[in-house]
Amino acid sequence: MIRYHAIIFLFGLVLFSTGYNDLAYGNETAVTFGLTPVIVDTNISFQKNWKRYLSRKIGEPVKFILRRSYQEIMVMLKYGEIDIAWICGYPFVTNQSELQLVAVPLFNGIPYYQSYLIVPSHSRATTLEMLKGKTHSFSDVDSNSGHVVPRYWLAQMDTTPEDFFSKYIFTYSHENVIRSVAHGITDGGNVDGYVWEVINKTDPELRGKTKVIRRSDFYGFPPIVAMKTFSGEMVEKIRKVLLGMSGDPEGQKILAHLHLDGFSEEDKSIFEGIRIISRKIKPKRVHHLTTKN
Amino acid sequence: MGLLAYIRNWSLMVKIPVTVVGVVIILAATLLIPIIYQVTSVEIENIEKRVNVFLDNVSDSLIPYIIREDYWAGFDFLKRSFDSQLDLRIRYVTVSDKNQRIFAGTYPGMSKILEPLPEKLKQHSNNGRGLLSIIFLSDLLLKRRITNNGHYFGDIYADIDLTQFKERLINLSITAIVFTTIISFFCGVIGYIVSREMVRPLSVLGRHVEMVGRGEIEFIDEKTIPSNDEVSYLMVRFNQMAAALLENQKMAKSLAVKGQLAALGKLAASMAHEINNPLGGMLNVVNTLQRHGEDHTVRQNSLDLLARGIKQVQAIVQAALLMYRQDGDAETLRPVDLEDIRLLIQSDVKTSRIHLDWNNNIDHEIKIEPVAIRQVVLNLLLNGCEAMPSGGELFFEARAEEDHIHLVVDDNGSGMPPEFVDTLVNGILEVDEGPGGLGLWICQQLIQQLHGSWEIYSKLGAGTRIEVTFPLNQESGHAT
Repeated sequence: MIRYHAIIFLFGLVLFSTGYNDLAYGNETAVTFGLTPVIVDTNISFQKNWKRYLSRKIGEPVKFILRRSYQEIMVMLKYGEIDIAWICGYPFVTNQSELQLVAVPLFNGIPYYQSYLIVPSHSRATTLEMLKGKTHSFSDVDSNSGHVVPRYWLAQMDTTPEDFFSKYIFTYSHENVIRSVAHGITDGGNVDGYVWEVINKTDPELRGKTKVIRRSDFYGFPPIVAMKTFSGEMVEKIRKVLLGMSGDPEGQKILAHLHLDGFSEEDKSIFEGIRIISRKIKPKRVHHLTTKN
Repeated sequence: MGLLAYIRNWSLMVKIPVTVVGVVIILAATLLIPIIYQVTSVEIENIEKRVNVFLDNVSDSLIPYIIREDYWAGFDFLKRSFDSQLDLRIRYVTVSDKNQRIFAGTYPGMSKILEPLPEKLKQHSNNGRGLLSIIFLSDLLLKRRITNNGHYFGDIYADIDLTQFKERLINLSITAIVFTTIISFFCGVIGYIVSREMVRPLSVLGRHVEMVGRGEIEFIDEKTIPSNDEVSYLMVRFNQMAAALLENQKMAKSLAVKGQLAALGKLAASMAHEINNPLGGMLNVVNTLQRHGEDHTVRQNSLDLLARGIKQVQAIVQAALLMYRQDGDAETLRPVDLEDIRLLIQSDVKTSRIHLDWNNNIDHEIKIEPVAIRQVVLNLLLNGCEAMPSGGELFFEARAEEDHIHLVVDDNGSGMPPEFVDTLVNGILEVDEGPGGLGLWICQQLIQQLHGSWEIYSKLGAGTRIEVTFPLNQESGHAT
């Protein structure tokens, strides 16, 4: 969160100092790219590099928009305030009718990832069941790995987070889920496996502080999407640039920073898993209206 | 008590610096300890105020998070606030909700949400303040209520690390100790110098007093007498006393001369007696010669008798002459010098029908002033005779050892009282004191002058034995 706040501030500074402010706020042709804390590397110079790369490749100035939650990004997408966004598989599934896939990142060579159930490294808990009555961290309300998957697991156990945990909290960032568990604020948490793998490798403060006690099935990796109403030509252009990143040295450098192998064009069917489990999550109180669905 | 006595025996040059150092240390302690206490207390008060301001600010901002049960954001905010206050040295901040359960905490062991508040925090009371708390506690726990418009939301606790104050206290104390040590060292040195200056005239005075004890009177140099203090008063007094003593000595010397004259008178009388004896016989012989001078045999016998008588007179006169000769080169004592004395006392011995046991074992010349020795021997022998007016045994012995000569005069006369003997050996004899009168006083003076010593064994009615020892191999200059 510290980093996150600092980034917003520094990002603004960078925009002002580089003269992009005109483009960002006044120029209609700027491509606005919505990001959420799903991105692991929030390093500001890295983002600048990536933005410059995209701007040059696409031929249009690119502006990054960072928001706290998927919800905010989704709202901005729907109202056309941003053109493309890197969102989670779950909001994609729930808003599929309005969204088109631009590209899906490849992690360990595949466009899939897992949700991890983590506990502090000294914890004796080895299963989700052992966390009953404990406190728990979720990332975003609309996060698949950080909220939907554990809810699905609990649904399979015929329970809900409200009943199962003594208290659960949202940290609105996968990194913060790791941090809250590492710091002992909660007894466990659910996190994007990709984020955990990267942070557990690279963050000296958090490395080794948490351990994974359960890995979920593979689900479609958080994709980069655009509204269906957004220019197909521009989508093509952006997709081409993203897919081409693994093919040129500068793009490879950026991908290495993100710990990704590249971007690929995938069919929306890879998110079918998310759609299925999200349907199996039962509300705490079943209303007559929702039962029809 | 032993220690006190031990300290009392210290030199002034130790006592004064030690006292000065002690005073400086006590002064420094009474000044510096309250200052250190004050400084540290003020520092703690300041830090408390600042921490309270910090807690008030944080708790105001925490209220919305508490209301929304936004544990993560609340923690995140608390952590960031905590991380930005390093200068306050807060160990940890913990926030509890109104049910005394943890809302957020920066200390890993006290950050689990909804956990009951640790006992330490729950039983918080404003623990001791000030210097004592620094010495005995490692931390200081502060508590503020989180309220808004009269609504209670929970409490915020901050634990201040006191080790920094401890360190500062230790540093301050070390500085104070070093400062005091340096100051007391310099004061000690000054005290030493001052006391040395004070003691120096005292030791001069002491040395002079000691010399008086040895019979050497010397004035203290006026230049070395300090201007006008108590010591100078003492020194001036000493000089006055020395002057009086010198005057006394002078008088004593003149008395000695008188004594010598008296002895001479005595001697003259005995000499006259001694000479008178043969003179009577010689006059008879002259009469005989006048009447029967033509008879060859009578004349021859008479002349022989006359010659013997004249020789005897000559011997007596020669002895008297030798006794008082003042030749400059009279530096050696010959055996005959003592033999002369035997002759001189002959009349007293005879008059009192005394049996003289004469043992002069000196058979060679000895380098020592003869006049004084002879006077001592003569006086002692005459005293011995005087002590036995109606006869007795008088023993005399003289012998030369390697480094001294030893004289013994022993009589079985009337003896001397013990207190007088004591005065003779250890004290200064008044001129006209006791039996023996001038004679023994002169002996005392002479023995002192020749650095000799004497031992007196005397018992009233039983006799007196006096043993005198004169050291040899000594430059026999008269010390005055």
